[in-house]
Amino acid sequence: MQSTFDRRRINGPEESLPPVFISEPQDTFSNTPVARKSRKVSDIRPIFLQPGLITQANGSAYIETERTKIACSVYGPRQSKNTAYNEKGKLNVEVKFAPFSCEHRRAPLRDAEDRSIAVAIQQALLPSVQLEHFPKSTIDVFVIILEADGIEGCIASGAIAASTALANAGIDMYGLVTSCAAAVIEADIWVDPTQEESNTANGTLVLSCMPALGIVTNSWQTGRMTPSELLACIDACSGRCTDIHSVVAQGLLNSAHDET
Amino acid sequence: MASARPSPIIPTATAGKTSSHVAQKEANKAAIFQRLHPRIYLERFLEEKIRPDGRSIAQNDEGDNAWRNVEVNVGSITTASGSALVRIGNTTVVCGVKAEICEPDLDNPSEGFLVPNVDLPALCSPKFKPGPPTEEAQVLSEKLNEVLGNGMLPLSSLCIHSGKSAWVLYVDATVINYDGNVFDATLLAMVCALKNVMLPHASYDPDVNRTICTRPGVDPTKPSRKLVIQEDLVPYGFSFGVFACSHILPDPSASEEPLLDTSISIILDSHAQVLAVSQLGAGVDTEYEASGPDLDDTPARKADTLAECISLARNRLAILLNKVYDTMN
Amino acid sequence: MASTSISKAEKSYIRAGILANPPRRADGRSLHDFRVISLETGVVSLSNGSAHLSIGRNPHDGSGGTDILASVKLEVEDIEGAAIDNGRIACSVSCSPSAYPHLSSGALDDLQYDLTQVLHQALSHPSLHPKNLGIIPRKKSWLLNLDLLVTADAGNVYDALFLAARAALWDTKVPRTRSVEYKSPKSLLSTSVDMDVDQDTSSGFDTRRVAHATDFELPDYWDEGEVLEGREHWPVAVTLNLVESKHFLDATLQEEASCGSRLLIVHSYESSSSPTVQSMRILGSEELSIPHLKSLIKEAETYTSDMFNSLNAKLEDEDIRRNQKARQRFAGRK
Repeated sequence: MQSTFDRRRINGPEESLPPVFISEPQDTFSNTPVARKSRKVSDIRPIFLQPGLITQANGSAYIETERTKIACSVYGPRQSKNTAYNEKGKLNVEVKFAPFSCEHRRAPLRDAEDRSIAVAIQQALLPSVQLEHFPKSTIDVFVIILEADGIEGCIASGAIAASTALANAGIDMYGLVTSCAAAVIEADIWVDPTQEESNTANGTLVLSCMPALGIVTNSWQTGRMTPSELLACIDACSGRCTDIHSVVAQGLLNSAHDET
Repeated sequence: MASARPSPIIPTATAGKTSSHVAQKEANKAAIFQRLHPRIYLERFLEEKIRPDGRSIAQNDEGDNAWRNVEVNVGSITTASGSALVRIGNTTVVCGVKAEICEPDLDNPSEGFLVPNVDLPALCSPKFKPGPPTEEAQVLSEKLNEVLGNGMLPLSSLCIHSGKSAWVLYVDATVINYDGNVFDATLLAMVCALKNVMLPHASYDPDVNRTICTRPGVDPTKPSRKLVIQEDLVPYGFSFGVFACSHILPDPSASEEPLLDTSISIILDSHAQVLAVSQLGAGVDTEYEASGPDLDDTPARKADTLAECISLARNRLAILLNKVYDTMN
Repeated sequence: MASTSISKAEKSYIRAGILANPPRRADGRSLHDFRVISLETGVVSLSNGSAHLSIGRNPHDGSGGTDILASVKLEVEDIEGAAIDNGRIACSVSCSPSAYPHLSSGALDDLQYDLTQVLHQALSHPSLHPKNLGIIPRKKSWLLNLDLLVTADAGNVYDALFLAARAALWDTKVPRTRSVEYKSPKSLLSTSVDMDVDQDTSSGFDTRRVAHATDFELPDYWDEGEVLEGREHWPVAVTLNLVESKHFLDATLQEEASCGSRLLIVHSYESSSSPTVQSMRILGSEELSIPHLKSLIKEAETYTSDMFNSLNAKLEDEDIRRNQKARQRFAGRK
C-alpha cells in the first residue's frame, strides 16, 4: 500500500483499506472444516473448458471450476530476442492476477504469488512440450486469473488451461498435462479444495501429470502430511487427472470440429 | 471469410473432402495476402461494399448490421463488489469493481473516489508485452477517467462520514481479447460493473476512528445498497474509424484499426445527447478543402463526417440500451 | 536453476558413469554419499541466531564448496488489529553475484525469488510455527527474519539452505521479555517469562478496553534468551537427482547440469522414528512415472533420517560450546 503513486495509472487516495466487517462469521484461525454440500470429498468441482476463445492468440483456453476463473493464451513459437543461441526453445510462463480476483484488491504490481504460480505452471508444462523442435524460439504462455478460489486450484486449473492452449496453438507436445489438488484435512483426503478448505488443511498437494503416458510433471506440496498421506494424495490426484484428461481431450476435439 | 488470426491455419486431417481442402487453401491464401498487404486487402473489401468480417458499410438507415454483436454479462465475479463481462464481436473485456475505505481528500472532505484503470495485458494481443502499462493503456485509462468523472456517479454519494471516511471504488478493467474498439467495450463494461455494485452498510465510529461494515444479510436494519447513479448522465461510447478519407467504419476491428486515418469517439448519454466527442488524427472535413487537384478522384464525402458519426451513434444507442437493460434486469 | 553449461559429451559421460555398475562419480563418491559438511553456529555476533555451513569444501586448503551463511534477527512488530498473535516468520534468500557469475541480474533475482519461495513456504507454515514468538497479546510480537546468503554454489544448494536454516533456527534465542503495566496500581510489574503473561486477563478479546500490559522491557540475564519452542521440528531437506531409474545425492554443479530432473523432499521429525513431509517439489523435465515417484518418496526417508540424526548431534555439541561462550562473555562484562 505504501507509495503506490504511479503516473502511468489513474491513482486513488494514498491509502485505502478493505472494509472491516462486524461479527465475522468465523475467525480466520478456526480449524474446523465445513462439510461439503454439493460434492463428495473425492470429487472435483465441475470443469468448464473452452479452447480458442482469444482470437488474437495462436492458441488459448478459458477454464472455470466453480468460482475459479482463468484465461490463458499462447503466443509463439516466436523469435527469442536478446538471448544467446539456444538449441532448445524456451517456455515462458507469466501469471497475472486481475486486481479484483481475490478477497483483497491486488495492487497492479507483480508480487511473490504470481511468480510462484508461474514457476509451478511452467514446471508442470515443461516435460510435455517438445522444445527441441523450436530452436532459437520462445513460446509465451500468459495466464490471467480473473477470480481465484485457493492457490492450489489456481495452479491446477492454470496448468490445465495452459496445456489446452498449447494444444490449441498446435505446438508439438508429448501429451496433455492435467493437474489436480488434494488436501489433508484432519485424517481425510479432500480432492480439489477451495480456499476455505485449504485454510483448514494440514497440508496440500498439487500433482500435474500426463495421464496418457503415466508421467508426473510436477508436484507442489506444502504444509504437513505423513508419507502415507502423501502417497494417498498422489493416488487420489492421479486418478482425477485421468478423468480430467478426457474432459480436456473432448473439449479440444469439439473446438477442432467447430473450426473446420 | 478469412479471419484475422495470425497463426497458420491447422490443416485438416480429412483426406476425402477435397472441397473443404480447396476452401482451406483459399482461406490460407487470403490470410497471407492480408498479412502482406493489409491496406489493399481492406480496400478491395470496401470496393465490394462489405467489410472483412462480413459487416455491411454503414448507411444512416441500416445501422445495425454495421456494428458487431454486443453481449453483456454482469455479476459473475464474486470476489468483486460488482462486475461485468462485455463482448463486442471478439473483443472481450472483464471489469471488476473493488470497494475500499479511505480518508477523504482534505479539499473535498465529503467526497469519495472513483479510480478507473484499464489493463491491456500481454495475453490479449501479440502487440503487447508483459510489463508496466503501455502508452495505449495509459491513454485509454485517462480517457475513461474523464468520461466516467462526468457526474454519472456523484462522488458525494460515496461519503461515509465527512472528513473521516469515504468509499473508494477501484474500477479495474482487464482486456482479455483485443479485437479492436476496446474503448467502447471497456466503457460499457465499467458502466455495467458500476451498476452491478452492492456496497455493504458502513458506519463510522468516532470513538475508535474506524469504519465498520455489516455483511449483507446479517442485519436487516442495515442493508447493503446499490450505487446512486444518475441515469441521465450514464455515458455510452461509439467509436468510428475513417479509412482513406472516404469510408466511415463504425466499431473498427483490430485488423482495421492500424489502417485508419482518423478515429472518432462519440459519447452519448441515455437521452442521445452528446456528452463528449474525441477525434484522433487529421480533421476529416478540412482535409478535402486542402486536397486540391485530387479532389475529383476521391469519392468526396459531401456530408459533415462528425455529424454523420453522431447520427449513426444515435441510431445505435437505442439498440444498445435495449440490450443493456435486458441483461441488467 | 543455476546450471553451468557443459558440453554434450561431458553430460553423457557423467550420466553413463552414474548408470554404470558399479557407478562412477568424478570425486569417487558412491551414489548416496555426501561430501564433507562443515557447520558452525553463532557466527554472527549481532544476530539472535546464526550458522555458517559449507558442503564439499576442500579439507586441505578450504577452497570450493557450497557456502551459506544463515542469520536470524528478531524484530518487534506492532500487531494492533491484525490477527497474528504468535509472531511471524519471514525467510529470504540472497545469492551473491560472485556465486553465480554467469547469471544476469534479472536471472539472479528470479533465482533468489525461487529459493526464497521454497524456503519460506516450507518454514513459515503454521504446522512448524514456534509458540513463543508472542510478546503482548494483540499488541506486539516478534517478527523472525531468517536471512540466508549463498556466497558460493558448488551444487546441492537446496539441501545446504535447509541445513543452514535449521542450524540458525536451532541456535536462535528469543530474548526474555517482561510486560509492563501502567494502569493498575497494585501490581506495577507483572513479570513473566513468555507470552503466557496475560492469560488471566481476558481483556485481550475486548476491543473496547485496553489490555493491561502496555509495554515490555528486556531483563538482563546471563544467556541471550530461550530457544525457539519446538526447535527439533525444523525440517531437513534432501534433493534426489534423477538419471533414468537411478538417483544420487549431493550433486556437484556438473552433475546437476547433466541430470534432467531433481526431486526435493523436506522432512520434519516429530520423534526420531517417522517423519512428516513438509514440502515436495519436482524440478526439471525428465520423465518420472508415478510408481517411481512413490519409491523415491520412501527412500528419501532414510536419507533425511541419517541427516537429521547427525545434524542433531552436531547442533547439541555446538549448544554446549555456545553456552560456555555466552556465560563467559556475560561474566566478563561485569
